[in-house]
Amino acid sequence: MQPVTTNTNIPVHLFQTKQFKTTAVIMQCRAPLSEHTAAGRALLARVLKKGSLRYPSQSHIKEKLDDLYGASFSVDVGKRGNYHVMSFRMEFVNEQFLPAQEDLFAEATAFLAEMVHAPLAENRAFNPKIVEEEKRTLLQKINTIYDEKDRYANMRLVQEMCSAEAYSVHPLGDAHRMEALDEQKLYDVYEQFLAEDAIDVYVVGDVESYDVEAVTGPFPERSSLPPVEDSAERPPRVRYVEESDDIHQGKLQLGYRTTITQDDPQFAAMQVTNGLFGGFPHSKLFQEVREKRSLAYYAASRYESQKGLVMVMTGIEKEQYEQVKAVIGEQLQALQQEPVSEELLAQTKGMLINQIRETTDAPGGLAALHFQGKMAGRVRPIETWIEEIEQVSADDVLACANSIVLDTVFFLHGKEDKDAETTV
Amino acid sequence: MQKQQYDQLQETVYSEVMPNGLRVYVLPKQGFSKTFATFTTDYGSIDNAFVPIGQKQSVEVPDGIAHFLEHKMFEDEEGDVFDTFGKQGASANAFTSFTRTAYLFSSTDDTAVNLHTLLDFVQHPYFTEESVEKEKGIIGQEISMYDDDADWRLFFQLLGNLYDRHPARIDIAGTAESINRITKDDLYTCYHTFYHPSNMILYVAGAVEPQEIFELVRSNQAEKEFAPMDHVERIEVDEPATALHSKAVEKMSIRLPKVLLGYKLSLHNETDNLLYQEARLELLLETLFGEGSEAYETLYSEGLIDDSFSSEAMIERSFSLAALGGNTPKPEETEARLLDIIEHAQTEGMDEQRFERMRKKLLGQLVKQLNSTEFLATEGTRYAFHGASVMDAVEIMQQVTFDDISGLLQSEFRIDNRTTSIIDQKAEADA
Repeated sequence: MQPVTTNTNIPVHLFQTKQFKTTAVIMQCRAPLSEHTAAGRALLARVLKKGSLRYPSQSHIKEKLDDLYGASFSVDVGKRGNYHVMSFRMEFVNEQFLPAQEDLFAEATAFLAEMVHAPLAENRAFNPKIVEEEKRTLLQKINTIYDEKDRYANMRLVQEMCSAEAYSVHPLGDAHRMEALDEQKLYDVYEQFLAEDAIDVYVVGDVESYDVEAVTGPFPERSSLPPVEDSAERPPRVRYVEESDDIHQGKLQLGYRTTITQDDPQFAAMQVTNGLFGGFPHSKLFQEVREKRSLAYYAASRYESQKGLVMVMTGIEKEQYEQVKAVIGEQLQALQQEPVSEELLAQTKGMLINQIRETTDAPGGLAALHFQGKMAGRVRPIETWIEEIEQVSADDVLACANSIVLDTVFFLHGKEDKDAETTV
Repeated sequence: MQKQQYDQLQETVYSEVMPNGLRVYVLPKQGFSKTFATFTTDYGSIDNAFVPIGQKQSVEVPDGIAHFLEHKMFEDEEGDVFDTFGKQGASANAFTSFTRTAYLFSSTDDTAVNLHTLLDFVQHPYFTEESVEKEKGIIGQEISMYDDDADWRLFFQLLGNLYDRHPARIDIAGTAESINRITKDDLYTCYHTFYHPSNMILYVAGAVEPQEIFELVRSNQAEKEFAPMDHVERIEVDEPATALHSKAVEKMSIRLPKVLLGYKLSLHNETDNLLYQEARLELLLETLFGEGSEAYETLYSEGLIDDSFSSEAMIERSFSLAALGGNTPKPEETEARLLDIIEHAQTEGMDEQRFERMRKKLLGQLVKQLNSTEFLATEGTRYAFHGASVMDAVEIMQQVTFDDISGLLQSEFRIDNRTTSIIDQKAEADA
């Protein structure tokens, strides 16, 4: 399904469908990912969510959303390749399914525009109380990445692997720059966001016509974003990093690079390759690490197609580190040397196509697929994408597997001796 | 085939009971690419003492066996069932909770073939000593993973505080020690008792034609034979109404502590209207502690809670509880403040307007979830086990009154049935 796009200052993409009981309005705002701006934008997202001139407190906001039959409203930031994306999302029930006579679409979009364009600020400064509260929450969030050991291990892998690249920046920024922000500095961040971000708005639902200006609100005219410089450098040899912590299970993460990204003609082949490597239960990693050798409960790989990374993650006994690392290496080697069987190839394609089709069964999924393509500079209609997957051959997989090179290995493990401190 | 229409929601649910007792529900969704099917048994981690089918004496089986069984079902003489689904373009999964084990797949094509696979693999147990031993390594790592998960530890410490003998106090996956005792024969005993068709529900939601599904299931089931069965006899423990311990603290390698307050409730005893009790409890918790409530906003602005704060209503077959909490720099102070809020609401009453808004909010959330075939199949199954339809949820939510939730606050939120679970940071966590 393709959207109808209104090409105004801010493009609005409408997916008109009767499939859902709700309507979703999503505003995707992106800027180049940078250590200098990530903390400010992360804080801005939270402060905009917490108050506007008309809805100055969380109680006012919640009251309004509850009256819109539990409409959901969220603002958050994320990292997509080298972009820092601030997403405003609203989802609300289509009134035809409710004993209600209100025009929920008009009310909900007016609410969204209000939150973006009329924040709780005066004299070029946000409300200091909200800024302080949200700074505290974000500092806590940055600090507690450590408390979830898988997330922590992945953050550390990316920090080590991409230390000289924008991609190493965490979407919440760093504690140091977060501390330095205040209500005035944050307003500068806001003005830069209004003037410079590349913005796409998505409307998904049983909506026939709408007022574009009312949905986006009054953004100033903008020029397109400069292309993002990427300085991916391969190290002369693999980096190995270890850390210890007071935990039961070791977290092993391996970072690989590939030159194939989402705009590449081999993108679909690379997706299939990752699927065969560690994307599904029939993949090499799941079968060899878990099923055959009982070394782990999970062993999987993820393809970051905007940036060109493949990341492997698994949780293991500390003593089995060398063995697991070797088994993982052998699996990639097998994909690089032997053509994959037609049966496995077909199975992997079927699973990938199933995944893509399933994504279109959620309002947010339709918008997300389109937005991914837009960021990569190549929007594939769903059917084209599926065709590309169907045409992938065993030779394509061989070529893709040979583009994958190990860069960094990160291992977080338990301490040798619970009483003694060990530093690695 | 029975047909139940819901005009306001524009949905129709079809159902039929097979001669062997299997209950089947179909909910067609227009315009969807995907079909989601779940095959669920009314059997979970708490069912560890029962009278096996065809026997008179009760047995007690090792903790974690329902979950272990779930893992082992995916293997048969041919190999791996994940693989079979994969070749048919479907993704399969399974989960075990306190009271249920569910097997599921989603696919955008070949629903009929996949549905046969689902019915056939769950109705065909195949365990060997060797494969049982191999699984112990994998599940051992799963248990180890949860041992490092602070939120999981927080919740199970709470259950251990609340329950003295009831098996809800035991981790769903069991322990490294208990799973080591599991044998092939234990698995068969549990399987034959709890996987009888009369103890199971098949729910299919998505891009399907109801007639075709029922025909498929009828012919599939007609080819199989099952021993006759009345009902499963579970051995109930005698559990006091009060909490076992009022507090427990565990230290882990984390940087921000967590607190969870829990109440051991008696709502599961209202067996003929459990879903109503659940709606009542959810509305009470939302009114008092949901985002936008005075309690939430005050504690948030004081920095005692962050947006991890949430509340949970849990009403299961033989136990029920309410829990609330989240991350906090000061667990003891947050605990005291939450208790004050409850006490204040008990003496001064609650805000009726807020209650009405929360009802509206929960109604909207329900309708929103009807977009999801996963939600329809899993919740549809849960409602069906309670003898209701997921579409009734909207009406049930409308029946709850302000007096109802006020009464609940008075009767079930006491001192003697309350406990606190805290996960604190280890002193050397910053090393």
